[in-house]
Amino acid sequence: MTHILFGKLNIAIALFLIVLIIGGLGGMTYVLASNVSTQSASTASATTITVVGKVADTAITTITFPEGAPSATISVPYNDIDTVSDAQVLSGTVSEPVVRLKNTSGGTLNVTLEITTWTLGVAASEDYELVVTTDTTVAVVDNVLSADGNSASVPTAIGITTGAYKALYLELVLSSLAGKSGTSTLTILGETP
Amino acid sequence: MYSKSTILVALVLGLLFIPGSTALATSVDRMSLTNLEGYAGKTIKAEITLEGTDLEERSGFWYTNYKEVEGADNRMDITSWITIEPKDFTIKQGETKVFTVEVKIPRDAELGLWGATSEEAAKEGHSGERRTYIVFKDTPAGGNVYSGLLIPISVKVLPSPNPLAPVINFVQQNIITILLSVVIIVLLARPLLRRKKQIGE
Repeated sequence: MTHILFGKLNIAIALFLIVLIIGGLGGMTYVLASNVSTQSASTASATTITVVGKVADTAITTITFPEGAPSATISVPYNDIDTVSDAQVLSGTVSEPVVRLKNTSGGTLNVTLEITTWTLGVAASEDYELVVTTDTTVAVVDNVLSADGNSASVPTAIGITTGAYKALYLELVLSSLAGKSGTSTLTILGETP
Repeated sequence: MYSKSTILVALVLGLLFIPGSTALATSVDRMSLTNLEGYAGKTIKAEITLEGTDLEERSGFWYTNYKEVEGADNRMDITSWITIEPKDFTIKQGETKVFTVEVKIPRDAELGLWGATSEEAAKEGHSGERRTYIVFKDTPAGGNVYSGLLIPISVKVLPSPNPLAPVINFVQQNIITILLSVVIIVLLARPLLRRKKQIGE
């Protein structure tokens, strides 16, 4: 008789514990009042730097250095939008860049310039200047982009703020080889400062 | 009847509302892939998306880049660990393309941070702490002027996890439920065993 009573008591305690577990698990979802408030945040877009013409906001595709004598310095490159009739101008008073760089990204970007090796050994060296567009006093281009015409990567440490422009000047020293025509690619890389 | 000058003014005003050929380029959905966590001998995968915003179709490619700094140790150049698929791409205005960045951590890689000198490297003002980058660049068809972005990447090599860790975590999180369940089983089993014993006698 007592065994039966203890057996029933065991089952009763077990059922009670099951109810307790279920109740405990279910209790986790009991929310009496909302303590939730909404927050929101967003990040600006990250976009590559656009290489545009001297005046218009039109993207350029190519930069060309006109033919010169072996070992000559070519300082009148032009882009395909402004054409050869409106080439780069080096001057202490009225200088004009070959292209402008425009930052359409959501934050400031630091500029790194890269070039690939000039084919057929046509170039002896290449230099650059990267200045604010209001600076029209660029008469000398002497920051080294490539000291030997080979591929190079140059972090300029110059930043362009959102929506702003910088003016890029280029100058090429041709090699001593005559009758050669070569190519290279120029890359404008942006990086978060 | 409108005069010629009225029509001219209308034309000029109309021109103001014609969208200009604003030059745009290519957007990316993240500017860093730093502090990726993985184990020696394992491969980490991450996705990165480009969106074309230029009016013209652009062609480009991905590559890795190591910024060499004097005195840097051998933990900084992890370019050989990284592959990006697909490597080459063409992208039109409004188009998005997803790329997979795979970082294969060598079996003998020591624990800690690789590819950057600090876990803060992705933050603004910390460019000096970045060493390894993935880079994309593109240009319109026939172009010789590319534009692109340098995206820093770094990896945290973690100690290999205990294979029983998920079980231990489950037990720790549900200890009361487990104990009560054991008590329930004992309470129910005792009368059943007793009844079975009585039937046997």
